[in-house]
Amino acid sequence: MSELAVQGLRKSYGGVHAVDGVSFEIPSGSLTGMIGPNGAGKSTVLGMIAGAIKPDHGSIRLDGHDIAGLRSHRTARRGVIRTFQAASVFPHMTVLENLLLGTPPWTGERIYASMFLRGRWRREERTQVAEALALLERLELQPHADTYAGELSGGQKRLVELGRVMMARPSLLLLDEPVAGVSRTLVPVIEEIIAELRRSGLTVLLVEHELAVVERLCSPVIVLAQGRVLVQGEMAEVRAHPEVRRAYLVG
Amino acid sequence: MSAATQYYIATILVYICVNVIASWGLDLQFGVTGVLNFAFIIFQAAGAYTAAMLSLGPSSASGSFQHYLIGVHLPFPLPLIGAMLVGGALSALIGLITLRRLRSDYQAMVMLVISVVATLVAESVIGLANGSAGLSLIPNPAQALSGFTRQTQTWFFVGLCVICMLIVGAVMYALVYSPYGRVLRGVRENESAVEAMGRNATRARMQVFVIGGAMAALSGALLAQFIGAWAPSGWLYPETFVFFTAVIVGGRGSVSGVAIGAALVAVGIQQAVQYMPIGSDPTLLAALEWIITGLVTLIFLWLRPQGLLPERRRRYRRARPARLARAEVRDPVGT
Amino acid sequence: MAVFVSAVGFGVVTAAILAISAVGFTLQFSVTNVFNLAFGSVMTLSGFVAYWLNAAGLNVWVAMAAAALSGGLISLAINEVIYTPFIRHGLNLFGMVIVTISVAVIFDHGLQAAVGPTFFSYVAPAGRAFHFADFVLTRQELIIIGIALVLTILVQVGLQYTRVGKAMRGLAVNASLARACGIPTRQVIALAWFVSGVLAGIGGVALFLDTSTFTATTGSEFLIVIIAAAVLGGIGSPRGAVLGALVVGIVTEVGAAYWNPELKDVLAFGVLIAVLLVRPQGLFSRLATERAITR
Repeated sequence: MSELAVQGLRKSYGGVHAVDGVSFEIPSGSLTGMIGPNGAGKSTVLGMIAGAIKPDHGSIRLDGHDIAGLRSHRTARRGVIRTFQAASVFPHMTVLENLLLGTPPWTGERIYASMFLRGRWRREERTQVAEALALLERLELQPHADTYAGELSGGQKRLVELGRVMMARPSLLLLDEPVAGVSRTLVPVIEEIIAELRRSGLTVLLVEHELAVVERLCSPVIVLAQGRVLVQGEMAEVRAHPEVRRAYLVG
Repeated sequence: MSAATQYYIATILVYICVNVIASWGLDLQFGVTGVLNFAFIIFQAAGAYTAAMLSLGPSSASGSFQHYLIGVHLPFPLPLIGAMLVGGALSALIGLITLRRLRSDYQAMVMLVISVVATLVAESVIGLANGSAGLSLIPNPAQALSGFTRQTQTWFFVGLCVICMLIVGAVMYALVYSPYGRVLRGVRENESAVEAMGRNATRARMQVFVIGGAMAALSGALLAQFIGAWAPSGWLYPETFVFFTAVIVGGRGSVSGVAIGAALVAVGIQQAVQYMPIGSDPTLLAALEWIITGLVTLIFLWLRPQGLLPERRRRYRRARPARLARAEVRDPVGT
Repeated sequence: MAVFVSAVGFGVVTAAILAISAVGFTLQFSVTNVFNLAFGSVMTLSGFVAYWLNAAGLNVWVAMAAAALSGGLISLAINEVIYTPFIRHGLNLFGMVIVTISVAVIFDHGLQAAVGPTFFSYVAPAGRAFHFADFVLTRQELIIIGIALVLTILVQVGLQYTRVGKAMRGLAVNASLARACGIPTRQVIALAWFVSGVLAGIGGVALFLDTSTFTATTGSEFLIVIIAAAVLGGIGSPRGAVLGALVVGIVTEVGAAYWNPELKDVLAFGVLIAVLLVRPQGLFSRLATERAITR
């Protein structure tokens, strides 16, 4: 599973330094938390790693290769898969189809293959469908396999999104506030899925606003405030850090 | 059946085929992939002009009363193939400008501007395609079949149009109901998510832009060869709107639905208006066609936005719940 | 040189008409987010209201005032009766564009069915000619330029200093935040539609005066140029609309003078596309940039 090394990352929006020189490392196989008050730049950092936002400056090394500036579909192909702050689904497609679009891009999706190699892609698709159905069972969403994703509740959409990213077999998973807006009953379900992913050896970066969630799940933790890294280390030492207390009281 | 009635039916059939092909092109772009191609009509026009120029012969030949860019006299089916190539190439060019750099809401507007520019250029640059007068005396490939009556030749052309429609329909089914079609719908539904899963949304949009453009061009080529003439007044920028209505009425993303929508909207409204008891002033009839088209769009967007034949819900599993014994279902109480 | 200067003179007149209309168009878009392609139809309808009054004997400038009022009312009515219900129905922004096109088509051709495809003109003497160095402007043209100046300044002042203007700017930047701050969004939006309709009405009459003959579709034909000017300046920015109007107006007239008068619009559109390629948000507009990011 991948490791990530970020160095000197910068991004400004018309004079506002959203990210102002951020450097950190995410060891392979860890579940690292990134926390900070609102406006600290967490989502921007995540966006830059994922490729949705172009950094003004800095390097993002995934297993040694600099991916800074690559667009999202390219980073995704290298195994960097992300979720979105608002649970992101394909509304007028069934839950099963949502998961099918999570597989790594495959040759059956090319025009030539789709049109002329029906037999071959039919077979491959059947395997994918079986895998997706098994995942849906794990997520307890199987009764909704043929429901349009747009008709689901917020928490269910989040589960669909998680199912989709799991289909992608990522090597670096970026989770953007995965339990935000999710009903109380679903929070432990999602946390258990994240823990499972961690146990399978996947490298995870979890961006979160609330300390409690990160506490339960994450080992190394990076604290951001006002676009800079305040401190990083194990949860216990970070919590005791006076600057962190101040940042949270102020921010 | 009189010759006039035969010709009338043949005309209707040709118009249906041509409009279905064109509407499918727009359905691929807009219905399935969500590309708001407000310049759609110019690709049909490009196909028409190309087919004309590839079958008319040099401009100096026909008494020099028409001026156009190039003129060769190619045999069937080269003008049609040439038309599709030009349609695809023009789409690629315009796609490079609009789909790659611009914001999505600007894209639609710039395409509208390009449509207007195209009409202006075609009208003003006489040497291009004979300006506002347009091209006429465009030969019909069926006329090359010597030894048949005029009527039979017309029916051969109708057959050609039907065959083209069936081929394009097969292509549409293959594209839309496949993993590629799924990616296209993903681009329509949530572009950032589909990109986050490694699919290149811009490339997909460019692809459907080109394929749809080629379909539009084919429809234009067939239409121009049937009518025998083609002028800028027939492809002003609002004409694109008629195809949008066809797609919406038929069912966005549904191949069979859009075919029905095209027949009803592009041909049906025009015919219905002819039979209304309001006289025969052509301007009035044309205005009424437009008014009805606009009203139909609004009504469908309000009452049935998914169209007459909505996009099919895709089901993939083959395991079905065990069927109840027939007796139980039919007669649960037991009389 | 004389040719150039006189072309610029013509360009300023066109720019004046464009400025009035483009400011109306862009103001309404910035507040409501609806790309209203029926704007040209509102211009045409108001222009015809002025025509009927003018034909009945009313002075064309008084008729223009009536057109302004009718434009505002028509615009307001379209929003209340058609657009808002569709928005509440859940139609997304792209669907709304198609709704506005449908409205434009219905209005334009409805009018055409009623009045026929003929050409119309106002009874409005051009007035005496004023000579400025190398170009000539008639009294009528000067009045139009004057009206444009007054209106654009009024809009700018209104947006900057009045409460409702600030509310409009708030809505333009962040609608949900504005609502949360207690801004009466429904009323502000209604006012935006009304004001934009008033500008459409005045712009419509000005356009018809300038083109000297007009038909039921003249407004919608001009709409493309209006949109070009608005987008060039940065959609959503009234100041940008004025700048865009100046650029488009002058480029088209200079192009007409030196090149091919029939292709003058093509030149302006070429400029628009070139600018958008280099600067996708348009010339002006911090506002448009924010939009580009949030979307």
